[in-house]
Amino acid sequence: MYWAKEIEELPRKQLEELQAKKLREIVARAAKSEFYRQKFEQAGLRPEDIHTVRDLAKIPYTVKNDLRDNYPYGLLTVPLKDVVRMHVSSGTTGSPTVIFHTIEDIRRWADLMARSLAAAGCIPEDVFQNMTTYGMFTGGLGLHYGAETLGMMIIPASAGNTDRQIKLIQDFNTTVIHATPSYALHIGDVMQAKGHDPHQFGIRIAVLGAEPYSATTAAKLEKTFGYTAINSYGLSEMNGPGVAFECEKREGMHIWEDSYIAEIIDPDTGEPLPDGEEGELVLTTLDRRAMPILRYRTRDLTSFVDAPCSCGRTHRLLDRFKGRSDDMMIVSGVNIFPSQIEHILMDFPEVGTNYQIVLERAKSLDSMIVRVELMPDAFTGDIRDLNNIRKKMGETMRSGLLVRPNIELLEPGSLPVAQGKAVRVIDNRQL
Amino acid sequence: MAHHVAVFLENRPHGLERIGLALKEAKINIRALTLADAGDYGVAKLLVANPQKACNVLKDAGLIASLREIIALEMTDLPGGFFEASQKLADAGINILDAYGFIVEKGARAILVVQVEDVAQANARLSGIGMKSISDDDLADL
Repeated sequence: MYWAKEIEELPRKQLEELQAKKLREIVARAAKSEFYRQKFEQAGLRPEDIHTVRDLAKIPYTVKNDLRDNYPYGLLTVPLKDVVRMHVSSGTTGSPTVIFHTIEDIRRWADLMARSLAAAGCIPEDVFQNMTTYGMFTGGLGLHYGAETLGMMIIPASAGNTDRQIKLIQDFNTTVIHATPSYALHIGDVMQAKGHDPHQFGIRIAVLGAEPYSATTAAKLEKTFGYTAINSYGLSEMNGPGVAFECEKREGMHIWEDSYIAEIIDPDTGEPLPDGEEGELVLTTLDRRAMPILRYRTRDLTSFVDAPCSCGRTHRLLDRFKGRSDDMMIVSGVNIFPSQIEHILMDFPEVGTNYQIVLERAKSLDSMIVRVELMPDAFTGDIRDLNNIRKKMGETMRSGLLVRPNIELLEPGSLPVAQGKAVRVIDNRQL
Repeated sequence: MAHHVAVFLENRPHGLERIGLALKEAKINIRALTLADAGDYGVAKLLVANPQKACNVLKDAGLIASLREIIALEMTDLPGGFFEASQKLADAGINILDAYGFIVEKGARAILVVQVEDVAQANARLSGIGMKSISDDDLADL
């Protein structure tokens, strides 16, 4: 189903003209922020130097640390009274990065999200159960507003409480769900353990995102439930979900090029790569009012699909995401950097600074184990004190990371000594 | 004053063996041993003839060890002996965190070792009822 047929099928030439027009406007708007004013000045760039999409190359990249270093208002281009909402994204250290929205930003985001859901086959008659966390992260509210704009009935179930999720599906005949792929697998496991055939529930579409997952996982879910698995991509810096989305043809994820300019670059050299080659996705917002972000290095690895989609939409397709060009981990749909954990460990003199993170997946649910070495002086001889250290570290990490790791205390020297770029993360999950 | 040595151990093979080897080489005899377990790790508690030396030896062997003051009470190795000792502790209002015991002479003498929150307070309360913890020296002579 089309939501904005004219835009979705806009011929490439006109689409690129639209991009160029919006690019000129957003560069001028961005220059109003303290951050871009300085960045342009350093690069010797004047907003009027930008004419076509090809001029994009003149604009320096924006990276996550820029957002952190200019926390909280450095990228804002409008007075705070015009801001209606903020969201956060995980930062690489203790402080998160913040994204602000005007009412127009929120409406455009909801509209893009509605377009994405419509392309996936959702209709107003659908009952939409939103099984991702509501709150500062964008997955919950992003899909919520989009589903509402489309006109579906929303069950704002949020994440977790699987028994209740299944009861809601049963009682209200849920036809569309939004979840992380690992949680969707978990629901299937629980349904089967309770003696249900997941097919019986009549769910016809599952929007799955926030974690990279393989085509095999998608196929497994489709077989288990009998629904169509739709791949969803987004990041808080670019709004959240609704940046790229599979349509019913599922030949890749349409990147909505009237709202974003997508580039694929070599993550090591920063050079643009030709279509079809795998590299890091770089995105430029075209519609943002509160907080324009130009040439943002997503650190997500993908490639353009080298053929147009058979659906007729002219917006290019991104391939399934392959991973990250940095060390960010995605645990239960939550983005975590090892450096965040390192940061927290520094506040605990009872343990050393060497650490290891082990990721496991059991019964389709992720778990994170943080292994640290006990400092000899911190040992009182009482096991309760050790348990308290472990508990306090677990609590601090849960509030900082939104995931509670299991802390393992080790004897000094148990962990490999960091040499060069230490391998801190051992991921034993089958994604 | 009496002490035992607590050793932090990861839950993996050879942990106790390392303790045993270090004490063997230092020719330190073990009177009693107990283990507390918290899943991934545990704490071994050792009552030895010379706790300070044992603690140093274990640290030198690369283990995390800590000297901890305890209370050691003599009891009779007969039915009711433990009851008598525990009743005294209860009457003195001493709360016990952890305890273990061992026999010195069958049918005659046994030792009850208890770990408490506040050793100074516990010792004061014991002397209030005319009791006294056995000292490290006394334990070494057993």
